[in-house]
Amino acid sequence: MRTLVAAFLIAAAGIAVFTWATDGFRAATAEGVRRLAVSESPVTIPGVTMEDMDGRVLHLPQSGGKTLLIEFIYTTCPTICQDLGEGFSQVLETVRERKLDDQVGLMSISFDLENDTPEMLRHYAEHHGADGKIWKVVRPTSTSDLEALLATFGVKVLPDPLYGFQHNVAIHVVDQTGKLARIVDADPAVAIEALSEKVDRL
Amino acid sequence: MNSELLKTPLFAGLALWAGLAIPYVRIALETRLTTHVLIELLGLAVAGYLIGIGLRPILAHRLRRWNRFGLSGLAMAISCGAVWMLPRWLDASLDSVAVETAKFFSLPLLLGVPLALSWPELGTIGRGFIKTNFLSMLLFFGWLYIASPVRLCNSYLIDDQTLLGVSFIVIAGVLSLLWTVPLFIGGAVASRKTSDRTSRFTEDKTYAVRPID
Repeated sequence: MRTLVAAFLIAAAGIAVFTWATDGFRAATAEGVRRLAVSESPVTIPGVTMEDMDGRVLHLPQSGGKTLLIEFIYTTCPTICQDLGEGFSQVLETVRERKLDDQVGLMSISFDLENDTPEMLRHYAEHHGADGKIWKVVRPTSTSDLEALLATFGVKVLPDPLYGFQHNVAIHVVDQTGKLARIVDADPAVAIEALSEKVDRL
Repeated sequence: MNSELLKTPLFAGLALWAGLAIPYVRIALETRLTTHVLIELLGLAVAGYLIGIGLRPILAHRLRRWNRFGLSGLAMAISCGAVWMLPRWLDASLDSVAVETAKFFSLPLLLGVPLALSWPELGTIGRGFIKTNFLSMLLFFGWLYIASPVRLCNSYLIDDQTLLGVSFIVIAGVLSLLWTVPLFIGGAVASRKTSDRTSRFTEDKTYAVRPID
């Protein structure tokens, strides 16, 4: 009898802890945790200075109240970042078709400050059809800005002996007020759906 | 009482625990997912298990009324193990001192020790249940870590994840052989060895003369 009571109480405590440890069975991975966290309470993104593929300086968060889709890339990436580029070019097409140029912006941010010079950014942009207006390919101008961005967005960049880097891949939705509000799979259809929550005409 | 406390398993457990906590060792093991899980996490649980074996003589009989068939201890060990199987807490332990500390105390004290105190209380069916569930868990996680196209831990490379998955499958294979082969060749010898080992560690004859084992 005592055993039953003790075992029951311990099991109940165990289930309670497990429920807490998974945010109510919603997040088992760090990636799940960061996606859940921003969707529940959007995060104000840090003010950073960046330069684009033409060497023009721009700031984040942007004035003008656009909803931004952000991806983190490095241009020498042989695999995933090229797929990301393809996905973004499909989103760009949709944005153009529905004439949302004034409401939506796409941004590919490189975290490889060493290798991704503006020339490399332009090469990536031309390869994937980034126009430099709706879709900009940029890099932070300082390491401290880069680190602040990665920390706020929850992106981890690991050096990879074979390919350069490995990093968690997703599309980040920054709303008109400059808050990171959604993190979704890097799939153009999913990204457009996430955008439609923020933009009326989509 | 004191001489009982000085049993070797207790000290081996404490030494293993202390060894894994040395900052250099800890950081080295945590650079790779495979060593983090298979050496550090498993080592912490084993350290607790050894400590638990050392504590059996003074704790087992006092807890027996609260831990018949090892139910309470198993509930505690399974709860603790379930949380540390979540990839998010491995990631978090790398970034947070609080989580790292929780890991270093909970795995030995809430998983290893209760398991060691409960194992002798379990009957054959209970042990079989735990073993088969452990095997299926290893195979499931092995498959998941090999097949997942995305990284489950943001802090580790995908190759490392695949290696851990393969290791799980290999370990499951080895364990299932170790646990089943004795059933076909000389089962009596194997069961006698088990009860010998139990009584040697505990010096508690009640384990050795239990009718069903």
